[in-house]
Amino acid sequence: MRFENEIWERLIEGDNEALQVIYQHYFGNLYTYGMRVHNDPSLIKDSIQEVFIDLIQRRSSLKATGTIHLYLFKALRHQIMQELRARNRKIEIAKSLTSDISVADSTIEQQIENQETYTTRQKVIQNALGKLSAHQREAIFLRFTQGLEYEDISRIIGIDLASARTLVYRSLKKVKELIGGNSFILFLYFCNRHI
Amino acid sequence: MKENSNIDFLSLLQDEGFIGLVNSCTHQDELYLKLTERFGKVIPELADAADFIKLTKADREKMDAAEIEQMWRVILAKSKVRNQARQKLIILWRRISVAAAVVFIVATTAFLYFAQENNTLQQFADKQAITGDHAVVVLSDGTKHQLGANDMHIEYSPDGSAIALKNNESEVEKLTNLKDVKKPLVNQVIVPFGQTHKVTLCDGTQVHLNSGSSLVFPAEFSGKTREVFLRGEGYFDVSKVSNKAFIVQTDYLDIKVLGTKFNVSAYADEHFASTILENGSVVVTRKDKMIGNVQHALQPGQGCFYSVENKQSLVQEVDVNLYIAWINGVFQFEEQPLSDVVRRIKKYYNQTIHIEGNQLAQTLVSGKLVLNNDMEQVMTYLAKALGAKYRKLEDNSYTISMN
Repeated sequence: MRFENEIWERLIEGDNEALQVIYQHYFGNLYTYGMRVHNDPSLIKDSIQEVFIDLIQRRSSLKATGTIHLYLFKALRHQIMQELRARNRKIEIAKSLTSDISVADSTIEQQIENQETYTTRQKVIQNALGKLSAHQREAIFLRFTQGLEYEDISRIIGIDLASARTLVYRSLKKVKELIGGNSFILFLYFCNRHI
Repeated sequence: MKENSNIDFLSLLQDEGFIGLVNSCTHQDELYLKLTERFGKVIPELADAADFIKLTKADREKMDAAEIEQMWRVILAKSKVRNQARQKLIILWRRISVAAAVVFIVATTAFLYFAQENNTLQQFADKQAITGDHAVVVLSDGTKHQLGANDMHIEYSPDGSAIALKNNESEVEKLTNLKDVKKPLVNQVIVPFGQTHKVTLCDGTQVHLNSGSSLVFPAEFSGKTREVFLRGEGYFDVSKVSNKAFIVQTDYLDIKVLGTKFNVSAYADEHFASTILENGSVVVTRKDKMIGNVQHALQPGQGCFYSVENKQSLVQEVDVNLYIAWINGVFQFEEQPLSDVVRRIKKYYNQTIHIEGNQLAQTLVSGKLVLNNDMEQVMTYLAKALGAKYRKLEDNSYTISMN
């Protein structure tokens, strides 16, 4: 928290280096978050750029706050939603026409193929994660990858506290269903490795 | 102290203590030990939950470090440009009050300089009419090379000296541009009606050229900006090159970008010239006045339309797909008069189509046509949708009528 407070203050004071530190420090998390919200690398990259351009221009009017990552997540989400709204998606063939929209499953599958070190159990869980909707993946990312409180999650997504809880719960339930029957067989592998 | 209640996937993952415990273990064996300690034995649900926490915690998209750096430079450049745009007016006013004459001279010189620059590409385009049955590549030394097939890919090497002609991505021919140190090497691709082609410029920018279009460009971008001239329609996927803006000049509008995807339509025989932005940002500048031309900054999903007759422009939200579907051989339209739709089909197939009756011509139609099909099929489909009939005449032209 101290790092965050300090770097944010330096940003407001007009320190250019602070900006770059923030960018480098949060880029990975922001990019992954963006990809969980909407799996389209070029749209996410453009959105992140917009968030930072906006940050540069509005920095003198920012409030001192210790939660940069919350601010950035929220701003990025807002930007992504704006871009998506602008792209009118009422026509069905949109998916086949824009070449840079990839199907959510592919990156997870690639990850699995790329990393031989995963156990079968882990592959099953990865697979289950890959089958979640974007909204569910987003919830899992915020809750588990980022370890955020429900209150923060509700602020970022712009829903109330109860809805945030329900969203995370439903996402977990879906994972459980998807792991389903594989669980017991996989358990044998798990034990084997440790006995 | 062994817990046996609450050992199910969902409860475990809502238990802060459990999540904290799993996250505190860096090694799998350590984790197994702690779980056994707390729960007595490790059952499948427990293992699932623990692995789930570990996996999601490590969830991270891969990204190239060089690209992250590059993006940062773009952010700085863009925010600078936008700041300048904001301050431009203020500065202009100050300068006028302090030294009006200086500003005037600078502006005039700059204008003349740019006007001249623009003209070279435009003049080059004027020399070559868009006619004939074959697409043509005009090389730096003025030699013209005809393309043998439709739907080819014309790929320039990074220094602009070598050009590969590809058909279905397999190379069929190689052309060479002669190097001339003094003169910039201006090249041109002319696409006749009835064809579409793709060009990759030396900077990697890709341009899909629609039927009846001509693109003039330097074989190598040596100046401070990358400038091309388009007459007709093109879909641009511009490569980002930091601090080197890409400018598409047309007869009516100039479109300035850093790196983005957009469609430009500027046919000489259409009422409107337009720019449709798919991605990124562009600035469109009208060319109807000598100085002080109207500019529009577009957001993704917006289109800028310029009426050639009224010299008026308008920016509005559009369905981008309607405007870029042609690059995949699909023509999409929504509530457009049949006359407009038919004009597009005519361009694509290079055939004449008559519409009988003004009422039929003004009928608003929506839908999509797959233009890769042969024209007969497209006409059948169109007539069926309209509840109309079409006839093919002896001179290969078509007539659509209600009876």
